[in-house]
Amino acid sequence: MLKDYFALAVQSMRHRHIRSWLTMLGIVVGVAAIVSLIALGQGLENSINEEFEKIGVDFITIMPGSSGGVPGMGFGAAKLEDGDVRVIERIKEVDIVSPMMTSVEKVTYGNEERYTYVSGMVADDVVDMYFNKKAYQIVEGRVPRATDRWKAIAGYKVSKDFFGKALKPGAKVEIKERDFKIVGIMEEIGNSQDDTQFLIALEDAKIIYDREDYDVIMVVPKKGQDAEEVAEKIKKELEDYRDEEDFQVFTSKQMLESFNSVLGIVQVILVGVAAISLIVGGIGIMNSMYTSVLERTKEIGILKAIGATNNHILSIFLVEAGMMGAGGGIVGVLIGMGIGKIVEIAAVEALGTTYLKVCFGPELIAFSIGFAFVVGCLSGLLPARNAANMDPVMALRYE
Amino acid sequence: MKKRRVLMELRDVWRTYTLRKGTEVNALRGLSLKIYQGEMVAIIGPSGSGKSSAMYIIGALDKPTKGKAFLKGQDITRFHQNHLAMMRRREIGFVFQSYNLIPEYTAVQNVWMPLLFEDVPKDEREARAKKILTDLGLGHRLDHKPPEMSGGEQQRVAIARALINNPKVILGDEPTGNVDTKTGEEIIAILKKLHKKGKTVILVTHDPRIASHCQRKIHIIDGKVSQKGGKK
Repeated sequence: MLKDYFALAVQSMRHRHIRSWLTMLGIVVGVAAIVSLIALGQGLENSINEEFEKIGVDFITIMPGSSGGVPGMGFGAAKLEDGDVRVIERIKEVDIVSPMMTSVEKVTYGNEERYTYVSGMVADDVVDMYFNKKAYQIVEGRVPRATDRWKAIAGYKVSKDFFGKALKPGAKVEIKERDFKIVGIMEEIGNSQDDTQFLIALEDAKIIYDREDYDVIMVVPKKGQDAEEVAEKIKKELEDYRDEEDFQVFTSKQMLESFNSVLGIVQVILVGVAAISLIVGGIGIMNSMYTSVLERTKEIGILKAIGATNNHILSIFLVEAGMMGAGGGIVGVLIGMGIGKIVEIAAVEALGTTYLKVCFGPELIAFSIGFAFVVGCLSGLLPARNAANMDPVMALRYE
Repeated sequence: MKKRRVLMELRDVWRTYTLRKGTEVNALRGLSLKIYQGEMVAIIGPSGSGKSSAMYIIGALDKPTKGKAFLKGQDITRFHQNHLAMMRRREIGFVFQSYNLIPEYTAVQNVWMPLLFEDVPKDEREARAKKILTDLGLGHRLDHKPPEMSGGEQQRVAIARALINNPKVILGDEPTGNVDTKTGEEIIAILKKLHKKGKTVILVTHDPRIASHCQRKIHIIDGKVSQKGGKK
């Protein structure tokens, strides 16, 4: 018979449609906020995890600067140099040791100037770490070669609309007043930093930057070695060599984990705020149900006179409150999905990142609607009990 | 005179209402009366006489403050509210002065509401409601809502609702009070017909003309049965 109560609730909500919609709006806003935030957060997490999986989770990154700060933010006098590279190379569990210099530089193409990341790396290491593993591919031209001098590989966006005109392999660009010939274009990676970068030979980078120290040393352990153990070993060896722990060693897995935990905290806070709006929505339902109970006092009296028990009356109002919650939940999920999609598109358009791919799991949708239904029922409980416990004679006489 | 079965009995019933400021008002002061099965009886009295309070107790909507009320031999003063609701549903059909239909429901829905509380399936509810409404000449108003109907039509919908559970008693509270004389006569005619079919009809009214249609009149004055009219 519950079906009949649902039908009656729909009828009653239609009868008071403007107020019903306004009441539901509170829930709609809360659910839409929760759904879009969780979907975006989940999507972001998925894309990042995917990206890490592509290049493998076995990378070890060494950066100068004392620990305790955010990875990559270590500044100061500490420098990583060739000596450090040789120390790491001596560790037998290590396969590739790739020092790297990176800096934002002025790049000129034709008569247009842009500032973007220019990284110097050893060509063979780049090929081994990325292109041979099929993590990334060259879409035009060729991979870098050890014999390349004054040549550059450009990111995907550079070849498209980074400059006023498209850039093809063979084109000449000027980086820090030196001419470089583009030999290859990388595939789209999905974030604007990587997609607008230039990759040049480490030797050339040393010349144009006029320094010998490295910004990052990337290490790939030998097959079958545990990255965390190797990272520990590197840390110990470097400490012995440098007498000081003025550098940071972390594995890509640790990076991923710390990234995920930060993302998790941000998500919890955002969803918490959204949940508050859902509670406000619940209070809205409660308020509306109290008004409705008062307004329908006479009706309650009539229903009791024709034989409704307290439980029947309770069901009528509880079902109505629950449906307002669930209805708001359904609309909220739809709107939340819309918002998520819009943010995803906006992120591609405005930020050039394809990392914000929304992800609407069936659990998220089911949970949101279910939760909204529960909020509705809980909010309706007190007003419905008021209605159920009304004295039939008093209710009947109410005008 | 053949021995008639008592259907309802009020025995020395007092009903005291406590007003907001703590003042107590005795609406009924030792009311005793019997309603016999199959009779058509009027409970008559001026306004303020306590006849409405009496009707609520007869209709199992209210319990006496003191005294006993019996329905089919059972003392209903001891019943729980939900039990009383069941008695109202199955034994009593109410017809009110102001119809007391639910304005947002159609005629059919209004009529089958009591069946919903009996968990009767929807198809059966609709069929039974349509039949009763059609029998009462409202076949063309099945899906109309009360505000779209005349007073007489609304009162007939209310009678249909009172009859849907096939109760023994029809309890009318000034059932003709809101309609014109001609419609009032039609309503009385319907109630008389129901009485002929074996229903016990109780009419609570202040109007002697309505009461004159009944076999017996119970006069209530100051919360008690007035002796001069009561034992006729």
